[in-house]
Formats: sequence, structure tokens, C-alpha cells
Amino acid sequence: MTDPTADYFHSLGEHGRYPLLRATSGTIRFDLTGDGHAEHWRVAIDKGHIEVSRGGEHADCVVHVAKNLFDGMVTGQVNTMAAVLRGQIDVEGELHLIVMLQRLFPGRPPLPAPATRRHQK
Amino acid sequence: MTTTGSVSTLDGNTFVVSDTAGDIDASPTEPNGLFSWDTRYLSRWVLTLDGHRLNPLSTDDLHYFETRFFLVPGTGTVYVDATLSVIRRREVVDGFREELTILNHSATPVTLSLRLDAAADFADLFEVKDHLKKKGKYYTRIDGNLLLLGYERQTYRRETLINTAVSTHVDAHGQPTDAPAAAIDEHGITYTVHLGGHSSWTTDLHVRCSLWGWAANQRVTARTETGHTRKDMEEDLDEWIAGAPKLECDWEPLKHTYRRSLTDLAALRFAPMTSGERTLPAAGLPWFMTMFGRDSILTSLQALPYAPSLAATTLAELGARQGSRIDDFRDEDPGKILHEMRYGELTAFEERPHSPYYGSADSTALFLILLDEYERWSGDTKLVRDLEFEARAALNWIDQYADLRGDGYVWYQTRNRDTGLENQCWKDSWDSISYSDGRLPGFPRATCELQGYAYDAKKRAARLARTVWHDPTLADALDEQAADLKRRFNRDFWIEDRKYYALALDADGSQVDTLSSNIGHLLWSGIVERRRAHHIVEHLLGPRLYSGWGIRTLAEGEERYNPVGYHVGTVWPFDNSFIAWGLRRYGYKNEAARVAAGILDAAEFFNGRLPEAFCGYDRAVTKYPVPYPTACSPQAWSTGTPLLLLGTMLGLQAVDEHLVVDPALPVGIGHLALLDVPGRWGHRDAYGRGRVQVRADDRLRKLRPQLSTLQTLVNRRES
Repeated sequence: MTDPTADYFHSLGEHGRYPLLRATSGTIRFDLTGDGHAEHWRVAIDKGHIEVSRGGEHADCVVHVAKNLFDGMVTGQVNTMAAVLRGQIDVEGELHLIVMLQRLFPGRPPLPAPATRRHQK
Repeated sequence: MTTTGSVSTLDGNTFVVSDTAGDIDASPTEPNGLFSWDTRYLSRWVLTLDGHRLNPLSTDDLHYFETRFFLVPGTGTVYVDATLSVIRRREVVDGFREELTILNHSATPVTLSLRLDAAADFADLFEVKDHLKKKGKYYTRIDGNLLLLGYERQTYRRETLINTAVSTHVDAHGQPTDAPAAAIDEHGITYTVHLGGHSSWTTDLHVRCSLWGWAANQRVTARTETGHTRKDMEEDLDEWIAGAPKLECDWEPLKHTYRRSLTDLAALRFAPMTSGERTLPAAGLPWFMTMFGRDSILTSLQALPYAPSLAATTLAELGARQGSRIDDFRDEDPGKILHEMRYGELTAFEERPHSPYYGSADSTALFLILLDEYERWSGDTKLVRDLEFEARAALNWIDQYADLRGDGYVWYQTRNRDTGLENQCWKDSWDSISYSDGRLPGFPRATCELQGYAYDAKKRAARLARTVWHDPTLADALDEQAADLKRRFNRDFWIEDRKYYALALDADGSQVDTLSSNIGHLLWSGIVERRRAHHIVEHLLGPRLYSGWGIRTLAEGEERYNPVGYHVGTVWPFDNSFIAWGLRRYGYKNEAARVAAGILDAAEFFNGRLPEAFCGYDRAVTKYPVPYPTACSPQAWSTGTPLLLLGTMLGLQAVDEHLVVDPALPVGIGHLALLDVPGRWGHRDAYGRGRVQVRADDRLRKLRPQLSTLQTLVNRRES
């Protein structure tokens, strides 16, 4: 069975360095709930360097979200900022950390018929 | 009623638009209400005394965040002979607070029923604009002295909390006593007031706006963490005004306009949820109280010599939200600077793409231009170093993602056909880009000013690469690309038989041949070949584009020209301010002064507050600038316009470590000085002197003294 969240966190940790976050430092814990159990993922950002671990230790920013919604966030089906405005995500602590991290999440998958010719490199 | 007769009180993106009696009675199409985070938290807030609405005697804008309404009961006749008066004082601080006072001017005791009707439709600003229906459910709760109005759609919840407080009766001898509490029902609040002779009664209300979900099961009101109080806000405004340069001038209206601009700019400051206390300019009231890439950048540029901190926050916040992925719904690409950020229900449910939306083709180049101009003024190389990655990503966007036809120009075409923007340039209405014969070109489109901005962005980034990032290879490459772009642009956009640049290239690469104000932005960017500049200047100040008040968006004689058309014939003050800057850049000092004079004259008619746009009618015909019907006001880049025009009249430029002053003043201004202009030089004064000359035709005119006449004579003398 595929687990988009686990896949995402594994590749996030493997890649390691993210220039988009080079001015960002802090820890974010994701408390993902669903099917009667909770799982914790902890992302430590140190000036663009990311380490991912499991566990419920303290974090500067704690994000409570349903597991299936989070699967959508890391596959581009759900926009994180919109979900926050909808009240589907509870954020405790430093909001800017999740605002910055979600920029690494993919965008909404393209529509079936692309509206434009795109010039690619 | 229209917004023209209305009163706005605001703090960041929380604002109240009411009628002149202080009442909110929103119709589906009118943006009246208490708004916060793009949501209407009160759509009805109507005060009645014994069942009758009150008549305003006067309205007093004490500060932008505080208004006082002096009211009397209606008499049913044109005469007002009231023995009672009501004072309603409202301040927008953490939602809003309202103090109601009734004064009994007679010796006879009275018993009154004072009622406030309250209702909230929780409309998203987009719904108010587009007349959409709500999809969720409303609820109301009464809890002690609290009336709670709520709205719920799945997990989305917004609530208005109205708290009543103890009422006080003060008798004729000044003796205060507690008065009966308010009676709260689902539709409002009623006070039964027993008022003695020559006595007064007073009460307070506090209305707060709440969002859910920012913290676990907690209601969060917009500004609780900052401990906003009225005293803080007064001190903050005083500090803001004190921190700006002082203006000295012998043309009185300009002083008033200047102060108004500074105050409005303070009012329009907006702190996005993640910036803490730091603020950037929101775009304008009532529709645009949010962060816009283009508007925030251009306003920051206009305000650089006055409030450089706005530019720093704008750059940092836009950089932090720079596009990082491809998202067709949001027109997002890596490196692209956002167009608009929204917080309302339609954005929350992804029925609109504004979380944020990236549909603008100019904000990315403008971001680079502001970064360079900010460093020239402030000497803040740290920010330029901090944003090196973002700047390189922005340059990459211009080359890789904006070039939709692969021919080296910046193009736009939305990938969101339902709710994306058709025109992604500053003239973003649907019919703004047309051929001379009125046809609309296909997509993608490449408007001319986008190429100018890209050229300027590359030149400026080259300077930053050379001096701050220590990357001479990049600097040389950018200079070369810019030179190449300028060469190609002057070949492909120039219309030889009309002597101006085409408004755009269409999908086939053919010229969109209309004459428009966009050519003025080309001067600002420096992409105009010097030998051609005089043709552009002649067009800009010629009868087809210049109305006498300012340069029209579209020239008279074009098929779609309409003096009341949003982007097809009106005069936009901000547009003129950048064109004036462009005229200076090419050495046309007198022409720049003439443009400044016309717009500053217009400002006087608007009591110092320039609207977003006014009609393009000829000045000789109307004698006064006719407001555009639904123009936004105050609007940030109109507010910034007098500031930039002052700078162009004085010829202010940051060159190396110095503030260069090279004044050229219009007739009517004898002397002009800006004291304590902040910058990398510390603080410097800038003086300009003109020679007042009045021509015969000026004396014959019966109008009030104005700066610019139909045939403006401009004088200058270097100070």
C-alpha cells in the first residue's frame, strides 16, 4: 500500500538542502490523525538544511491535520494555505514555519488539457 | 447610497465603511460593512432612537482609525430643532469599539428606546463584488452581555462577537450612576434609557472578528497578539509623520496633499499574518486591502525617500512567497512574484486561486527594480545579499517561464480559464489591450511595458551582481541580454509611420497598434532609444493623450477610447507619476514638471486625496477633474503619487553616496524644500526654487490659483 506522506517525508529528508529555506530555522511537528491513531513527523529546518524524524518531541510549530488531508497536501491535491483558511489545519506556534515549508509541496496537478504552450528549458 | 458619501475607518485590513450617520446597511452591491481578512463581519449596524434613524449633523475623521458622528433625531422636516443629540464615536482597533452618548438639552426627563440592529452576512469581498450566494449556515448565540453572530461551512468558521458594557447616566450635576443593562436579542441590542433633564447617557460596545483554526480549538481575533490600543495607534501615527521629511512650500495646497498622503499611507499599512509587526502597503480601500505584488512594489518605490521601511518589508514578504512550483490554477511558476493574496471564504475553498494568486507578468521584474532602487537609497546591502537567491530565481523566471513564445519577450496567458486574469499587466481589465480598430488580440500577449521592466530589471540586477553579489560573469551576461532586448524591442515594437511603440505584440508576434500611456513607462525603464524619446514625449503631452490634468490611459481617437473607461481613457495618477519619473530620466524636466502640476492640481480638487482614477475629459471642457464612478480611495499608489511627483520636481536621485537634487518646478511654486530626506547619506535637505511668472491667459482665468494652465509655462532655476 502506498503512503504518500511517508514517501514525501523520506524524500524530503534524503534531499537534505533547500535553498528556498536558507533563511528559515526552526522545528515543525506534524500530528497526523486518522483511523483512530496518530502519527508524528518532525521536521527540523536549519538554514535550509532539513532533517526528518519520527516522534512527538517539542517543536516551534505544531500542525494538527488529518492524515488523508496531509496526503493531499504533499501530492498537490490540497493547497496548504487554503486548508488553513478553511480551518482544516490547526497550527500552534510559529505560523511562518509552515508557510515557508509548504512552498516545497508540489502544486496542483495540471488540468487534462493544458491551456497554454509552455516554453521549457 | 454609494461609497462616495461614505466614511471609512481602518486599521490594516480591518475597516468599516458606513454612511455619514455611522450606519451600515449593506446592499448586495455596496461594500458597506465591517470587513476583516476579506470577509464582511457586519453587514447591518443601524442605530435608531424610538424606532427612527438619526440624521447626521457632522462627521469628524479624527484619525484614519477613529471617526465621530454627531447625530440628531429626524424631525420629518428640513428643520432640525432637536432637544436630544447623539454622539457616536468609533475606532477601529482590534475589530471596532463604539461609544454611544445621548445628550438631553432640555430640562424635561425622557424615556427612550435606543436600538442597534446587528447582522453579519460573512460575505467574501469577491462575493460582494460578483454578487454570489453563500453556501454555508448562519447561527446566533446570546451569552450574558455577548451577542455572537456566526457562519459555518464544513470546517470553515467565522464569528462576530459583540460585547456590550455597563451604561452610565450622568445627571445635570455631573453625578454618574449605572444605568440599566442592554437587552440582547438575535437581531440586535436595545437600551432603555431614562434620561433626566440636562443629563447624558453613555455606553460602549466592542465588536471583534474571529477566525477559527489558527490554534487548537481557539478563537483568534485578528490582532490580539500585538496588544493594539488606541494610544499605541496615535503614537505610531505621530512617529510615522515625524519620521518622514518635512515639506516647505509656498503653494499651500501641496502641503495639505503631502500630509494627507503620509497619513493615508500610514492607514494603508498592512501586516501579512507572518510578518509580525512589519508592514507593507496594501493596495487600497475597499476592494484591495491586501498584499498585491505590483501595487505594493510600486507604492514602495514612490515612498522610498519618505518611508524606506515599506520597501524592505515588501521585498522580504514577497520574497518569502515567491513561486516555487508549477500550479496552473494559481498561475504559479518557480521564481514568480505573487499578484494577490486573499483570506476569504472563496479562497479558502479554492473557488478562487488567491492563496496566493500569481497572475501578473510584471511583479517579478518590478521586484528586482525595487530591490536595486532600495539599495541605491538605503545602502542596505544585507537585504540584497539575503535576497540573492530570490533575485536569481526572478531573473530565471523572466527567461524561462515568461517567454511563452520562445522569442525573448515577456508574455502572459492565464492557465486558469475560469477564474484567472486575462490581462496580467497593470491594466488588468478585459478590454484594456486592443488594436486601434477596437479588436482584441489573441493570447498570449506581450505588452510593451513588460519588456521595459524586464530590460530595467536586468540592468539593475547586473549592478547588484557586480557590486553586492560579486558575480561579474552574471553582471556581464545580464548587461548583454539587456542590450539585446533593447535592440530587438526597438525593432519589433516601433511603429515607424506613427512614431510610437505598439501597445503589445499579439499571439502571432504582430503589433497591437494603439497609442497608450504604456509608452510613458518605457521612458521610466530606459528601453527607449534616445533618438526616439522626443517622439514619445510629443505623444504623451500631445492632445490625444494629455487631458490637461494628466496623461490618459488610452489616446483619444482609438476605437475603444472612452473617458469613463477604466483602463481605456481615464487618467490614473500613479501612471502619471511613473511617466513623470521617465521624463526626468530622459532629461525632459519641464515636461515632467507639467505632468506633476496637472496631477497636483487635480489632487486639490479631491481634497488632497487622489483617487485611483479620474475621467479623461479635456480640462478645458470640465474645469475640474471628474471622479471615476467606482474608483478606490484611498488607494496606495495614488496615495504615493504626490510623493513621487515631489521627488521628480526636485529631481531627487540617489547617486553613489549622495542625494542629488536637480529641481524643475512648475509655475506657481516659488520654492519647494524637503527637509531631512533619509538615505545612505543620513539625512539631507533638498531645495528647489522657481521663478513665478504669470502669463496673461492665467490672469484672465477665474479659477482658483492652480499650478498648470492649458498652455503651461514651466520655469526652473537650479538651486
